[in-house]
Amino acid sequence: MCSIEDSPIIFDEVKIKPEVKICIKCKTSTATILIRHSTYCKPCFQHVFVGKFRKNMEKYKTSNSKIDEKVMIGLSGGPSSRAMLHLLSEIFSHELSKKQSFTEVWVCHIDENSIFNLKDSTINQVEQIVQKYNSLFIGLRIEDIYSDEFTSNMEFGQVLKISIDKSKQQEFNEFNATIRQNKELSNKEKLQSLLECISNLTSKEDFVWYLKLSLLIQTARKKGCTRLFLGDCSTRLATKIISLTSKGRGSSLPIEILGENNYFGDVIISRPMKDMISKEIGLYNHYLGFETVFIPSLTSLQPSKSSIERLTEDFIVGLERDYPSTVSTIARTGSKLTISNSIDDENRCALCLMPYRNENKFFQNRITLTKIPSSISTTNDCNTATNNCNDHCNPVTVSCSQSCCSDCIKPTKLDHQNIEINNTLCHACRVNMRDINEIFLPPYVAEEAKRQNRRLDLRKNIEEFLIDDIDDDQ
Amino acid sequence: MTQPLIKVNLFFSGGLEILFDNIKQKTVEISSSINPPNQTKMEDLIKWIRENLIKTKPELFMTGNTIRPGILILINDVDWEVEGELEYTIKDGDNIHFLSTLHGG
Repeated sequence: MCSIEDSPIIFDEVKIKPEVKICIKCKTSTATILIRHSTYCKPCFQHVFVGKFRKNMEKYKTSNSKIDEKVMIGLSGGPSSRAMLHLLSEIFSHELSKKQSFTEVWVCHIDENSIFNLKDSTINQVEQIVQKYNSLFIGLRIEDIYSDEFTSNMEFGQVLKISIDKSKQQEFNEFNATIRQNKELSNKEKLQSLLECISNLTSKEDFVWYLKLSLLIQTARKKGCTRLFLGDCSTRLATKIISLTSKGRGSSLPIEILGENNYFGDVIISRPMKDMISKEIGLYNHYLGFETVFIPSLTSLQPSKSSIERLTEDFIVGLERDYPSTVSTIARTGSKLTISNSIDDENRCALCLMPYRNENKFFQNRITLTKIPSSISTTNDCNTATNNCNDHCNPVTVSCSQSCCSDCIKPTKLDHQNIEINNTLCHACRVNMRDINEIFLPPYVAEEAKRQNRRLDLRKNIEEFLIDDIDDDQ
Repeated sequence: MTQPLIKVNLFFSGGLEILFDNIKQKTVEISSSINPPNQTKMEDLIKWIRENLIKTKPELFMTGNTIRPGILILINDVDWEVEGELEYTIKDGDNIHFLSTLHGG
């Protein structure tokens, strides 16, 4: 067992303190910065920093960049995305003078303050930053995910109401979802009630992140952007690699950490900051005098054991101090992962958009030792299972054209429609569902769940005519 | 004999300011030898901040006898790791930045 008392002894032995305080690059100036084991002077540090970024951008260009691309930058206002905005803008303006490869640059900011019920919006602060650059700005609030605009057909105004059925408490993973048109609550109230009903911070953080990701991707689609830049730095990615693995999201891990991936089809996700550690970014912003917006997170001011992600971050950052190659080792090992070939493109979790395996329900039962009975009591209001899907609800599909959809949805008086959401969630989201009581999920979830259910039904209907893949292989 | 006072400019950013009632900059006067007969070092200054300035959750500022990992310190724009970390002797007029790089401050 290692104990806390042991660490200072190891600390002294392992830590290599540079004796000579000369920049290792120019070998003339006095060093002012220590990154991992190397000392730099300020100009050399900035040169190396920008160089790393450019190298990553070059890679994207040669791989699958299109000409005349519209791109979107996800800007939280935190240090990493703030630095990214500046670096990208430099590249864009440089490119403009040569040949136009990015025709339109959007900057999208999502204000999360309604999670904490703060009155001030971060949109204005961020907009002021963006004004200095030649980009178009779009400021959203996280609760906007509940508005109909952010579904595939932009009309699907239904939310999913999920409640854990008391009678099935032994089997926690059976839950009811009711599709309903919920107009009484404002989007903000829906979001707040969603978060209130999640009992633990880990799941809460998960929810917030995937709502944000969906919102970003949908916004990028709406604006016709084919590339979305996210500002994950390598410290963040290392944290994600460990925390996502512990949350049971191993299969979707590559999608969330790769420097570039096209899992989302029309929107390529790029992470050009993936090789910079948070210390470098902090120093870079400091030297350039960039003001960053302070974005509180759910775990701000919380003890380190408050959520898996927070605990992982503390663990990694703590290790990094004594062993300065921790982050880069984890991040570089993680970046070798690739998206599994066995992933069925159609199997996407309705909530987090990540892939899930077939028959995930049985998979979970196989690997779970304890079935955790839900101790939360369900309020028994109008959403009873008796309101089954009526026939005239069936024409509501995603594949039909917008005009058709608005025609069938709008006049539908049916507020309640039971839907099988069990099969359309990934393992980790199903685990998260244990911590909820009764929540409203945004329309995009309802839409996706419905779409997938239709697909499954269809498959069931034609099953006997299908030739089984497995038989084929044998 | 009382020790002469030295002036130090402290800056808190990256979300760290929430531990200090949202104060981002503060000039303080401290003894040039908090821990006589030694001159005031970084170690003493951090302890002094914890005892005198922090409004809430000191454990989010310090772990053990040093700063919490993830918080950068810049002494006159120079990385404190180059300056000898806790052993650095504070001088009059030093600008010391405390910068949190942690998620959510």
